[in-house]
Amino acid sequence: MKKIISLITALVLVMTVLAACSSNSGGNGNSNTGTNAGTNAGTEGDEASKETRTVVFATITNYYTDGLKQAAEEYTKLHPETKVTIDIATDNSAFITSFQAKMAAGGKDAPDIVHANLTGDSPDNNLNKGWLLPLDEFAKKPNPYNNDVSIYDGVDEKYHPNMMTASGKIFMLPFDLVGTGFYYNKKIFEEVGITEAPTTWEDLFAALQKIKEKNYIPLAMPFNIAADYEGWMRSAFMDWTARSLIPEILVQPGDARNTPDVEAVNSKIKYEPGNPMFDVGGIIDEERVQILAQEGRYDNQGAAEQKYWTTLKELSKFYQPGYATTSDADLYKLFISGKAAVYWNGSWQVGQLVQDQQKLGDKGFEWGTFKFPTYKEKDPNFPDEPRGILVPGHQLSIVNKKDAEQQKRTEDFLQYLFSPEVAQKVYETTLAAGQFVQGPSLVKGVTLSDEINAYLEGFKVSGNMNGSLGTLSGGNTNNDQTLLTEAKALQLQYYMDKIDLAEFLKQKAEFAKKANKKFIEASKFDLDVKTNP
Amino acid sequence: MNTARWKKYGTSYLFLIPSFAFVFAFLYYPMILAFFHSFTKWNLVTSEWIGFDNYRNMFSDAIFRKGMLNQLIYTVTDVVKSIIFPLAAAELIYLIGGSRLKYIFRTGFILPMLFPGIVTILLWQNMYDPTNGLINQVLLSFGLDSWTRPWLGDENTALWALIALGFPFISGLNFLIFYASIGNLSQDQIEAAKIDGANGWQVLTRIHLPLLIPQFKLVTILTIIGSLQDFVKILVMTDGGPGTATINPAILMYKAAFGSSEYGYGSAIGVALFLVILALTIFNLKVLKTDH
Repeated sequence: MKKIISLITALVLVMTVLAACSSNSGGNGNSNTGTNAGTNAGTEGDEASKETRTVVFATITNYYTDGLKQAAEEYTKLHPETKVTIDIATDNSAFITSFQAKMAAGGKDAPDIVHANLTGDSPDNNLNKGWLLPLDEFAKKPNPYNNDVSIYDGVDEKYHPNMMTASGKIFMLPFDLVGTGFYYNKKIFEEVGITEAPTTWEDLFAALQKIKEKNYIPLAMPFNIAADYEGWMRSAFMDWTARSLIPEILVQPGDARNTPDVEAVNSKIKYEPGNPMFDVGGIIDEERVQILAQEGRYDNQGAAEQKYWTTLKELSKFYQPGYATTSDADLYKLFISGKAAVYWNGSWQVGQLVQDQQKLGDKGFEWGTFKFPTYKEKDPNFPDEPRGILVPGHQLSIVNKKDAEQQKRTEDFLQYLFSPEVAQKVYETTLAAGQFVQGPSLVKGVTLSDEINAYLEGFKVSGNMNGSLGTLSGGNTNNDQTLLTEAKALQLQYYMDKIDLAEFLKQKAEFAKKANKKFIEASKFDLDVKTNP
Repeated sequence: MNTARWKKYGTSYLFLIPSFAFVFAFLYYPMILAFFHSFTKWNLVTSEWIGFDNYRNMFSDAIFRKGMLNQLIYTVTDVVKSIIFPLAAAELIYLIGGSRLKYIFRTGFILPMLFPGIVTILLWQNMYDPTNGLINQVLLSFGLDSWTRPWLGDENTALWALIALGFPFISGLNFLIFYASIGNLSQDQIEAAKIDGANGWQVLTRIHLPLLIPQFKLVTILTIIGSLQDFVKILVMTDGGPGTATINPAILMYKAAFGSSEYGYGSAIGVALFLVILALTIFNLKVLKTDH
């Protein structure tokens, strides 16, 4: 027995030693800490630059996946010492959960490149926590893959403000634009005698009614909490009616969150009726939003609320049966199979639709896109034009791995990706594979075919809506699933005629107070913008 | 531990240690952690001790209470489904003549155990589809247009549609438990009863059912545990909706932890569920004690 015990003890010791050795040399070779990489320059630095390393680019299924894979392969051919792998998550929530768990565990196994808008936290918080790297210096560095034009100068300058956090640091590199709008089946529209896509709510309702009478599903609407794209409409209405309040929720001089960079952007922003781009890049202070909500500066039971909730309820009569639990994937099937005439979604479905229509051949149908409508009669509560989502979609950030060599390799791949030739190829490969092309590229020099541009037309809304204004109407749920469930249940009661509009708005106002209270507590706001708790 | 004992059982202990280490690391340790975190506000990055706040919030939350009510309905119906239907199938197969026929039926009921559960869920999801689903299509073909429903999307039908999932509810395991037990019942006792003039119904109610009480207890407790832990079918089919019509505590736990990053609150729901399961198990073992 003694022999057996000794043997096992020895075996365990040997395994432990081997495991320790392998953790020093295995994996992607990330054994150098930031300190080591920074201080052991010279010979060790040279050795590090020669060793084979892996750069991991985390993305979502179908999200430029094939295009990125091809770019990664071609990059590795150019730089055999760096292998780029594309790590694919099944959906947004899986992406966020995986990223958060890996970072919470120290970040060693986290990917190197992530979507900044899918980290589950604000850009500033991510930088302050040390999870993402500030990219100010890197973004403005000459890009050897683009005739030394930096990534910053190589992307559409209109979207430079979007690259910044609330405190004015560059946190992401924008690859493309993303938008929201309606897809429609031209064949069904023609069948019911409609030749033009509707531009007003009144025309849209008339069209949907005719379609309903022909026994088609008039509108496929993602409504359930997992993909509540109807929420974009609610945000668009709020932005439409309360847009003039935006300057009041921006970080202002004297605020604790103000910095010279923030001030440089925000000081230029003044509400101008008729200029839907007046607030591009404006940096919002959520504490100011809460103060505005507390002051009751927006009447969340007033005429504007009554009008847009009545519109939404009217619209809900045309949603697919069982809309409260239908998944977005099933809605796409309803549209592509010609059962639903209209489909409200994002511009990222364009690539998939183009490819599926090609596959359908003679059984396919002509389709188009149209924008979020206006009201036929001008309403002072809804001045200007409605806006929608029109922001960089593919927002790429570098994870702080505290490893200088790893960071250098990651940066080099991003410079490669942001060269016009490579970005163009990524687009073409993605489209050929029927995957998500979210919208026009923001990399200067990338062009899309006339066909794709025509499809994307319906997503080019007049400007990007401000999502923070929704807090004034329904409170800031802060992605709390219990609150979201409660809000959705209340909305359904109204849509299903279980409560009338007045009762709905009253209960919603109470809910907003509750949600905002929770958000204020979680954010530790003292509702004094001069302090930053 | 004395040397003699170690010499006798040492090898067994050595072989048990790795398994137990894994059980401890992956089951007990997370459970202990969850208990600790249920008193904290924890988002995987920061943790703050908040005492009983998570529990207070849980019981004052109307959605949680609605989830508990739904859970009660799920559990009661699950228990009924898990006993009546497999028992009826076992009794019927026991009664039919011909061993070959018995074998065919028995195998037919057990084979579905080999299918992954998610297949059944997705199949039923398709059947309930309001546009293309089998149920509405059959109703339409019989001219019963007014009977068609968005079964999973209507607050009035969603919960019952989930309960009806898996009809005729003959779980392979429960069927096997009952069938094997019926086969092991004392034939002498049954024959004696028949000689005394007992009919089939009397044999069932006076002999079979009383003798199957231990099996009922086993199936009941397994079903209760499974029902309280069950959330896959709800997540896949309705995500707790429409509104809160099908929500249950397990879904709320999942959403709190993985949707809202409120791992402390999620842990509190998990601990509450664990305590309910523990209490019901003890009740089942102690209060419903039998001599069998």
